[in-house]
Amino acid sequence: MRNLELVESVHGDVAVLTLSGRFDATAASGVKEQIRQMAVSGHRNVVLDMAAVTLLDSSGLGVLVASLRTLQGYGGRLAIGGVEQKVRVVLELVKLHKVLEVFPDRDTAVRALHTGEGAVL
Amino acid sequence: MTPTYSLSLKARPEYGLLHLAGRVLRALCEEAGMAGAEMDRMELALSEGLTNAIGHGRHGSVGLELAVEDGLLTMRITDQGPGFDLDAVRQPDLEHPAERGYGVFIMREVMDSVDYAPGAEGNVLVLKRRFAGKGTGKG
Repeated sequence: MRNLELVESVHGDVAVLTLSGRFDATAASGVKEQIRQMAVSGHRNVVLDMAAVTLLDSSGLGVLVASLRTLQGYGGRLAIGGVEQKVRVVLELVKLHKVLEVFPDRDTAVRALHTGEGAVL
Repeated sequence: MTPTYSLSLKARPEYGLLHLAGRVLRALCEEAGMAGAEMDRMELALSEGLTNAIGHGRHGSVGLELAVEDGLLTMRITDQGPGFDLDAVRQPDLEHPAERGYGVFIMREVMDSVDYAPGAEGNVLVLKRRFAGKGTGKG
């Protein structure tokens, strides 16, 4: 898959951004801006479905940190729903798994943001 | 010794190169018998090195040489930017997440060696990793 594909959907009061492909410098500014726009338009609780992300590098990591801060600034939350092992390894390498709420899959993350539960991983 | 496999390419410093270079690297590593998880880490390091080269070297071109020889992967990335002091790059504070500063740390974590120095055609980043694969007696 060449570029990262973004698909936005809304599940009640939770917005979901589904990412497919490489989450690198090619895509970083686009994802960051899309999440900022979601927050500005009232979607303060956002799930990033990363189950189909094939590579996450430092450019993508930077977007995750920036987006977390953006949503927290609006009083909201960012949850990660589903990651492949190779993406989990990168999150753990820089210890972002301790800061981000990472759930086994998108639906679990959406339910958690609905109910206000914490991460289960 | 002649490398078992060696590929090189030169391109404009644009982020679109990341995808192509990743695919070329995976093809080379697969042919050399590298395990999938190791290949993922090598693609990650390559992405970090190329992203730096493209970001720092907005003029001229970016060069990439990939070679496998007797279980040793060497990735050589050339940029024509102003360069930087690799030894001066500080370790990120992993207890306090930041939006920048993970790239060199990741390369150092996943590669056996990371070197960066001026060369005849620009600044050269050399990433090396020994792996178990075809013909190494380790796979």
